[in-house]
Amino acid sequence: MEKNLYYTDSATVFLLFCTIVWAIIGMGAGVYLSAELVMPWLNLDIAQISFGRLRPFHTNAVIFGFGGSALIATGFYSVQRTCHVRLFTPKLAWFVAIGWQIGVAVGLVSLLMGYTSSKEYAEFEWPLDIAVALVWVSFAVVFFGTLATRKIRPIYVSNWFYGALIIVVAMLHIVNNLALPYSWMQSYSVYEGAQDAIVQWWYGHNAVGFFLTAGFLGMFYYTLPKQAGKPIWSYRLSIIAFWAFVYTYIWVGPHHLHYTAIPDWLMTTAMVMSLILLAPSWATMVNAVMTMSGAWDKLRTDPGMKFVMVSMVFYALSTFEGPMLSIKSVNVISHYTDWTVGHVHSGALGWNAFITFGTIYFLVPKLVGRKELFSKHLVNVHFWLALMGVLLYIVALWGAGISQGIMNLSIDDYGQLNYSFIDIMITTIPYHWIRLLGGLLFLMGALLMAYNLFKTFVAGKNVMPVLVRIPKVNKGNEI
Amino acid sequence: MTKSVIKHLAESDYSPAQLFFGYSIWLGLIPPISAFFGTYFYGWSLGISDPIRLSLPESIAISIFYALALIAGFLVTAFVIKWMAKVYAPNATLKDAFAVVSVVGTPIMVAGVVHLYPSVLFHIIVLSPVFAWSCYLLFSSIPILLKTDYDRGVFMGCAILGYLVTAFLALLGVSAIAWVYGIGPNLGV
Repeated sequence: MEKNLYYTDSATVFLLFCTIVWAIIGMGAGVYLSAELVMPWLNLDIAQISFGRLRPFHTNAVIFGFGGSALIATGFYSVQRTCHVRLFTPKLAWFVAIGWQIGVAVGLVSLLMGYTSSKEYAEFEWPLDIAVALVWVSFAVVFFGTLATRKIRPIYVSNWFYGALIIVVAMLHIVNNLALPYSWMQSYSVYEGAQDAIVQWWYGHNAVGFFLTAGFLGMFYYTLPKQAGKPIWSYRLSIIAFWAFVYTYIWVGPHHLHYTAIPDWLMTTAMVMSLILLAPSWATMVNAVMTMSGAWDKLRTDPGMKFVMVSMVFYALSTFEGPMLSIKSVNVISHYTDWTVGHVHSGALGWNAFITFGTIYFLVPKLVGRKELFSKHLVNVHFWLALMGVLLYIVALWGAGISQGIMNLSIDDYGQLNYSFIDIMITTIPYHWIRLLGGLLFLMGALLMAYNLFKTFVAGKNVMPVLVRIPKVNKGNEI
Repeated sequence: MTKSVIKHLAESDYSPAQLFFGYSIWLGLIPPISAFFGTYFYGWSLGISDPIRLSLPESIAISIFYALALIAGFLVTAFVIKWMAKVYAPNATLKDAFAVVSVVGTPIMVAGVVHLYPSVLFHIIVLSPVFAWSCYLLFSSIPILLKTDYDRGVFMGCAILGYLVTAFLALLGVSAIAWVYGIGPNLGV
């Protein structure tokens, strides 16, 4: 059998399996630690599951475990098909797939053991940073190698987004994690004080921007036209939005540091660029909605499409909320409150998780050689559970955040603070109970998804691997 | 029972103004009037604090602005629905858009009586199921009132939900800016 006539999807199948496992582990950890906030005895006096250690476990598991596996899986799947060529070095792709899982798993264990660089979303210590960088460089080799050996001349827009993800995240990871090692699991950052904060949040915000946004936009630009059965409404707009997005996003990091010890001009620059960023983000959203608006009949056969539609709604909401929170006057109320956490989760759950669910529901039957999922009804139940979960989560934390923000700043006629820290804590507790409920609903939906996909896989595993022949390139588009 | 009521509304003949002035605006007055009584006679508490009471002119002013905001919100939402209907429900007219906003808004406006007891937490606990019911009404009434099919209705419902949540968030942001510039609670900024 001439291998080069077929795409290779085994690494993708493995990675999607890992994505679902990380979803359950990461979201489960999230639910547990939000339960710890309202029932502190839940840490059972065990250091490894205390809030301080479980929180970075949760963020790394969902961003890098769940998000990373989904991105690499869909990156491998889509780059082949948009290049009309088999993946460049499939064996290296397997190294990336397995190496990523080992890197993330070992890193997460190290976090539970208490080793941390204390840089948000970059908590892994230096040996794991190096290991992860090696895996990421291999990912770059596979991805760009496939692009370089492509048979079709134009490079589709999704590949631009994945490419930006790979290059920018490599740069961010290396620059932010530069440190002098002291021992195997301890190091000192080469940056100090305000400089450290600025580099950290240049990294932190662009981790969100390129890992959680650009990468997932790449996923979305490939899968949506496939699901809708029609091309992107305006391809030109998608390219303009890409360049505007990539240029603007890099500047916005210091909006995490408003009214701290950084220069005034830096805060203003970040605020202005954050507001400008609204335009390319909403341009993408408009493109998506207009593409989907002619494809409503697809809902009957593809229930996962509801997830894609709603993911765009929450993408619109989050990319509106982000610039709004970057306005200094709003930030003075929202900083250090649960409003920020609510914003993060409207993006992470509403946008990232929803688009991933929609994509996985679309891809898995194809990959396991089935025409349909095991149960469309379960997909619908998952959808409504997830939607209710996200809405409860966001509204609870808006309430908490606004209360905290007002109480943080409220002063009496003599200029004294009206409320002590403990007053604010007591006010927050009920909102955290409602947030816990929202998170539980979301986790339940994810468990239903895992069951549905497992049954779909079991029904199809005798037909695997599904061999997809590489189609001929249309005339005029050949290299 | 809900669906038959909505069907009856869809088949009735009326103008947008008749619906607005005969039904919607009166329902829309429940929250501002309740808010006045709650704010002036009781005072807002943020969970555990003593209630913050405003003076009579301030309470009246806030209630009037609240009423104006609800009316403006109703009209803007209706026109947004009419605009979106060009793509999702070409047979819909302005009266249908007014009907959707009225149907979806009815539980929320009636629940506006919670403003009589101004505690933020009480509001969230009571209003959460009310909003969930309104969400259900949104998705179930669109195909009937806007004369479109179920699938297009789901997409349109998602789009309207997106507009509503974003508009609410914008209101939150504008409120925060207003507070920082001195209109509202006494903040140390």
